[in-house]
Amino acid sequence: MNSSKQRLGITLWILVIGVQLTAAEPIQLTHDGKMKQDLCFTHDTHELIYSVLKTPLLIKLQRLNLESGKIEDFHANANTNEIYIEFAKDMKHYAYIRNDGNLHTVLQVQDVDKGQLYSLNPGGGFACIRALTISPDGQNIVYSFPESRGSQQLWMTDNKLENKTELTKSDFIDAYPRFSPTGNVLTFTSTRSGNFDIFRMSVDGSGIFQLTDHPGIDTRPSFSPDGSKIVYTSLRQGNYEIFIMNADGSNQKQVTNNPGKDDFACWHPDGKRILYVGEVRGKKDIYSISVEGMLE
Amino acid sequence: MIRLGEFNSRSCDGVSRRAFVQAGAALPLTAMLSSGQIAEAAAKARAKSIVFVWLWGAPSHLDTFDPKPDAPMSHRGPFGTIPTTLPGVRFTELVPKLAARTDKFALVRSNITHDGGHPGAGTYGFTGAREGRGITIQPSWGSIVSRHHGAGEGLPPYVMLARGIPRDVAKLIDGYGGGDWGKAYDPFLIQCDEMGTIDIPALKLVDGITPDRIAHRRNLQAQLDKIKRNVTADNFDAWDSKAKQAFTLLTNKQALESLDLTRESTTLRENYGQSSFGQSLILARRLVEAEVPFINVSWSEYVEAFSPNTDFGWDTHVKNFDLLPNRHCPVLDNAMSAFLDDMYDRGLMDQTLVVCMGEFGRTPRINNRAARDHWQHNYFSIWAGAGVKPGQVVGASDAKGERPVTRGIEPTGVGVTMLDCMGIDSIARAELNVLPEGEFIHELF
Repeated sequence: MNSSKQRLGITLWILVIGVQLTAAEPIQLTHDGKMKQDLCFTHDTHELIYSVLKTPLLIKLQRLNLESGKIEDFHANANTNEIYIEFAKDMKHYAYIRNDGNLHTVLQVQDVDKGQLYSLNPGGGFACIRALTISPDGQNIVYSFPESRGSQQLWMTDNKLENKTELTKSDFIDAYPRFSPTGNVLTFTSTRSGNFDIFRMSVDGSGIFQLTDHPGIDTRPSFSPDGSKIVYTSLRQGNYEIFIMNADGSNQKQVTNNPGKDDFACWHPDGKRILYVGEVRGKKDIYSISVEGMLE
Repeated sequence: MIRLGEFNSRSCDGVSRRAFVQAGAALPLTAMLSSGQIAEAAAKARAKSIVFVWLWGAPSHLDTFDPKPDAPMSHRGPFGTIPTTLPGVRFTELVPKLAARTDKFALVRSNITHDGGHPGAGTYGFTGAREGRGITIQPSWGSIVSRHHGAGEGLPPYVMLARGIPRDVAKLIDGYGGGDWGKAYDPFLIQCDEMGTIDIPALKLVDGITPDRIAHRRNLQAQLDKIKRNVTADNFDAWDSKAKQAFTLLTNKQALESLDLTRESTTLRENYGQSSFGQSLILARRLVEAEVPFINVSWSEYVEAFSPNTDFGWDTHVKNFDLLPNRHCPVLDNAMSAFLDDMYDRGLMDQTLVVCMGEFGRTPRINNRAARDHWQHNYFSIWAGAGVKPGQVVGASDAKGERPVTRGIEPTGVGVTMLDCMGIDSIARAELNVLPEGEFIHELF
């Protein structure tokens, strides 16, 4: 074999390997195809928690061990819908939303060390706490809830669910709050631009700053572990895809490109991968995709 | 005495109400529904089957097919709008696949009904009549078709694909079935889960047979053989009518095969999506192919509006702006698009009328819970097949989506149009003593 043929062979081999490596992304982590949402790590690099429509009548929180692939219920005895969980960094507190009646949800905080469960009931009638985030130190919870007048505000409370404060006093719909890793900044979705866009503000509700500006939905933002990036879902191209951007809104980049719906993204604790729910061939499963080359 | 003069409709063939009244008046009543006339009416009918897709709970019209981008934020909501294939017609960004298929269906934007509660509006939507204590319960559209067409071999004439009868907490809607005609005209309920697995609750009524999964045909056949050996004419008569239908169905190989979604290609099943609603729509298409005359696919009884042990479906009094983009609209957009594509690809739309709607719309003004409540004064319906002219919008709502600015399309008009397309014209309806009012939606054809 002459040297040019050898070079061609090596080039082809590299191309084949390259294609295989590319084809391996994203990595599929679940295979049951069931409806899933609200992905969250436990601050342990190998345990992912999410909510899944386990039976036609029940949404459960489940934990996926990324090393063993084992899946089990997070609250084994839960007999009503549970969604939207997040953990404090030291894992001593976690918060989630529980469906306790018709069109009614409550916010729950579990103090792991004391074995104490706190519950915030938003009131009678149809009333749903929408989404929440727990501060990295576990001391505060921010959640979205419509108090009146057709708008929906972000509220802050302590981890015993006392001392409630209204953070955003607006005529808009504010939703899907997430603390930054330092705990002093929040990113969230809001309609204050006329449709759902991504915003950030200080944890006291001041300094609201718009990060995305597009007529399509931008929603469910989440800070990277080092706080420099934000992952979010966007419908700007007519299909739900995952995007990332710098924490100041610059450098917006598309991460996924799938004909189905990609949504509910969270960062892997290593900051190099995004996990999300992707709808592929009609099935909704959890995927992991590297963003290492997109972080510059 | 049947009062033909009250019937007010126009058939798919364009025959006017007056012509029907005259034709009816010229006939002795006893001759009105001879088998020959039924056959003649059926031959004239454009549809052999109706697929009635029921979006129980009532979807918001503003957030889907009738957006109002120029209305104030208090009404228009947070969703953007996108163009459709029809010039000047826009849907919200939540239904992009259906927006790309407006050449396959007609959209009515001027539906109205007369009850703001689910049971009442549900009964209106299924029967065209009011429900209430002491009031005669009218038969549903499916029951009328069922009685008019009669039972075929194996498959029942009125099949409801749902987890249960539409209900508001514990209250079933009165108008789901045969009403005062009796349970013999109730729908035959078939449950289809997200994997396409079939359950038939009526089988639980059959002594000695409790197959949970029809897909296990070998086990099922063994059980059926055992029952056949034990069944005598006496105890067969004692069975409930639905149990008899179930048994008849399960002993008919061809009918049984119609319920077997494993006969579909994996790709096609994936196109519909892994949801109960999507897989039920595939089953509906198979039942059309099996010539079942009335198939109701109901968005019913799943955890879709955070209502444990209830059946709220699209009833988004809370979380409207969360549930619609996260869940409801993607499922609807995917499954209905796949269904329309599939039906057209197989050439089934010439003989099938597809109607998709809920019991009402939702409040144009966003409520205090940052969501939307019930709104009976204006909503939408989707129509396709059986001569319906696709690629058009019928009717229009006002600037805030509060009321139609064109003729309001009432549930009786929906019913008259569906029944006429099935050959159940005003004469037939008079004989059956159903639906004395209702204006045929001639704009659709």
